[in-house]
Amino acid sequence: MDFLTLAFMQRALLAALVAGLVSPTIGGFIVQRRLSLLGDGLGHVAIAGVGLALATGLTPLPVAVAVAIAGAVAIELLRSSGRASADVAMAVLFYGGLATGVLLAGLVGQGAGNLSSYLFGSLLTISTPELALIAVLGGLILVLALGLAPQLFAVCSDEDYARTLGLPVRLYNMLIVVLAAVTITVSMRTVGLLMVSALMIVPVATANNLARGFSRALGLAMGLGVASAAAGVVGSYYLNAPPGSLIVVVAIAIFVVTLPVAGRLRRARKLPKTVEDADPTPLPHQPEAAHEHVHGPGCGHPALVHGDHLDYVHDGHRHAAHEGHYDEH
Amino acid sequence: MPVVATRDLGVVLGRLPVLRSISLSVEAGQAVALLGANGSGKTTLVRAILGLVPHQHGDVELFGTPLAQFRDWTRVGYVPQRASIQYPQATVREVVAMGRLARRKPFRRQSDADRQLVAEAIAAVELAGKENTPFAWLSGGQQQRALIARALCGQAELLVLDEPLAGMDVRSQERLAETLARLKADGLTQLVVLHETDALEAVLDREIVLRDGRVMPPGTLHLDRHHHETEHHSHPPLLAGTLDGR
Repeated sequence: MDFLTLAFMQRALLAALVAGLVSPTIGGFIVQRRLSLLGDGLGHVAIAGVGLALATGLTPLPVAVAVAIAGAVAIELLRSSGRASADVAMAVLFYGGLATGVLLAGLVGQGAGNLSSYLFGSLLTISTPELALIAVLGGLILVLALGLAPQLFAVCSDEDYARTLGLPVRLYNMLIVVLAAVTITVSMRTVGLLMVSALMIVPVATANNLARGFSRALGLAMGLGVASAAAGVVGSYYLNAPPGSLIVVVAIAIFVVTLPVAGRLRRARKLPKTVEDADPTPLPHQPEAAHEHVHGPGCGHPALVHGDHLDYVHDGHRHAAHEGHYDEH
Repeated sequence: MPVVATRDLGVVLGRLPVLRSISLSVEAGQAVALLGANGSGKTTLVRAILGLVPHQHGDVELFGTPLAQFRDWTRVGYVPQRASIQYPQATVREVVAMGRLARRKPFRRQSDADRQLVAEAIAAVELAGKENTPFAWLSGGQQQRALIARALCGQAELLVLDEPLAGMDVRSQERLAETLARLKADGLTQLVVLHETDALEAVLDREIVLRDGRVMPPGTLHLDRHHHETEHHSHPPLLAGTLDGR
């Protein structure tokens, strides 16, 4: 761990940990709201901010924050307008952001080279003031997202119901996209604007496969984000690889590796289907003719819960055990 | 003072008048069914009463306060259509605990009292033991009861249920009817959107029949209730032909 004595590695690790912790926090709400690709779009908009900063000689991070927030507000206003054209308008906004950013950077001769450190991340060149801003923004996001977690969860999962609770739904909707925009700029130096969405969504997807309950999954996703970030930074030192992409690859590797576990959990939880009788009167007794096969758990025939017993589906019939023979149900 | 009152309520969606001149009132402690065929406007009516759909005409009052000024949302427990919502992750406790948000302040942790009321509401709908089960794993009837628990734990005085019996087998319908009967005995006012009243007959005090966005005169319900037996009767079936009437 001798690399930790290097100041730039310390800054890189701290910035990555903030990004790893904050991104899945907002990602949890975004996924619940079924807007998984919002982060990607906001990342494109933030590129315009970086381009603007490069063109004007301003510091990129604050400009990117301001432009991304403006983009987020525009997206939310478009979305809540409910117009069919909103979808297309958002696409125009996203690609407009990307093109504007590349164009502005190119016009002043900064070219793609300088811009690419924001597109793909450039952890190792983070300065101390930049790290301080990242930490402050990250802290602010965490306080708001976790402090308002129950309210944001309610708004993300069922807007109408949240309204009948008297919650300021429009304010919270706006808050979620603005927090997402700030999260993107916080993670911009770590994984790059083209991959920020991955750090928001992938740990959440993994956690949703493994944990039960929204808050437990959210906690696990934050842990996985931090673990991916740390592993990516440390690994990049030894592999001499770009840390941003390694962080995303690690997060996706965790997702893939845990898929079989998730599958097993899902199967174990899956209860047999229940047969619902429209008519509660008992069925007439109809014993099955000679039947060699003995039904039981794992016999290969799907089981169904039928009142107080199990039916096994066999050649299109439902067999229920009854005093040494099977009844047709 | 009625719990719910509308006067000359009119709602236009798109350019289509969905509700026309609806005047109704629900008194405290009553259980009132809102009946009508598909497209008769009954779901729009409850949504307009709750302020989820804007109305262009007339007034809505909740607990004697005009809807625009109404802030006392703790008194209202909305139970939306089960099919319309999805909680892929959340446990039963997390879904039910949402009902406390009308009273909980932002940035405050759940208090012991909140926890207690959530547990009581879950017990009241006979889901004790399922607290940590994901909502998505429950059967249709259990999900419906969990949504009722969510409305209850905010200590609502008015329950608004949108098609609570949809997609439910007979036994689950009976259990739900028992739950609603118990809540009625506790003094809860209920406004229930229904397709047919059979399963809730014992709970309901009164029915309001909508047809084509208008309230049918009282007394027409019996035609509807025994619709199947009286189809050959000389009375014209009031709920038929709704789509033609548009």
